[in-house]
Amino acid sequence: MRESNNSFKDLEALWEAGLPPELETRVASQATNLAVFGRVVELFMPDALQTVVRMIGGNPDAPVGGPVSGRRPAPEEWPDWRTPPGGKPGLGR
Amino acid sequence: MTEVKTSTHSGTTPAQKPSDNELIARYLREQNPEYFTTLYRRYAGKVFAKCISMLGDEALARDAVQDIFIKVFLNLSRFSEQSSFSTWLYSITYNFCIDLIRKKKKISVILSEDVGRIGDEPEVDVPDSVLLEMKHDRLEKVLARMQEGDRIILLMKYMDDMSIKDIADFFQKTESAIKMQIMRAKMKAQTIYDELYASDPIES
Repeated sequence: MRESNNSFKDLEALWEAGLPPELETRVASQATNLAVFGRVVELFMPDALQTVVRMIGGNPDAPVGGPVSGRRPAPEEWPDWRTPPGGKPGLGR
Repeated sequence: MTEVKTSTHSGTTPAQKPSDNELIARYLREQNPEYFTTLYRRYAGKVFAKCISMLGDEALARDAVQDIFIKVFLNLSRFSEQSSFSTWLYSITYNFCIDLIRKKKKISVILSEDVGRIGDEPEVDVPDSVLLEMKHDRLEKVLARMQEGDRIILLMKYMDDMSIKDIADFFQKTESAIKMQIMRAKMKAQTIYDELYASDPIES
């Protein structure tokens, strides 16, 4: 080991050299597993994390599955159990 | 695993090493763990050295390195580039080891609350050269006998070259309190050294 004029750095170099090489394999395989797991979750449950976040405490106005498709019902199509403004009966049955 | 290399125009030109930030950006874009492995190779040694120095146990340090890198891997998307990757990684390392020490020793704080108390300043400021020129095997023994807080603060200052301000920010103390803590830690190191090597004070 090359001696420097800082014994702390010498000690650091000594400890660095003692890093077990098999640790890389362990960390790399764990990282690969986590990456694969993340991809599988993403494949079967797209936006899984965001969905959970919204379900727990997200914006209540934002639908969990994104905006609802299709047109909104026109006022004349209101169901008959609701009284429209003016008190006239609805158009239902 | 193979080292990730940047593409070059010709096969003979040596590949330029991608920066840490480039590797992180590529990992986040492509989700290829190879980029993360390259970061591991760059910093694992330093992280291992810090873990040994703080925990004082090689087996604990090995497990800590693994846990720290997995923690980093899971939080790569949160890395904001406001500081360098190494600063971020070392900060995670320090916090991880300090938490481990707290749990192991069942203590709540690493630096005592009276750090920086007025009127408790050491009488003599031990010159830096006393520690810096100590033989590394002797320094290792001295550090092993010190309290965790004193040891960590000396490592931050002399091994990592952290500024007083950065150390103060890390521990959420004032700069004057940290300066005083370093002075005390140096004095304690000198005392331990004198106790250990009273019969052989001259290093050969």
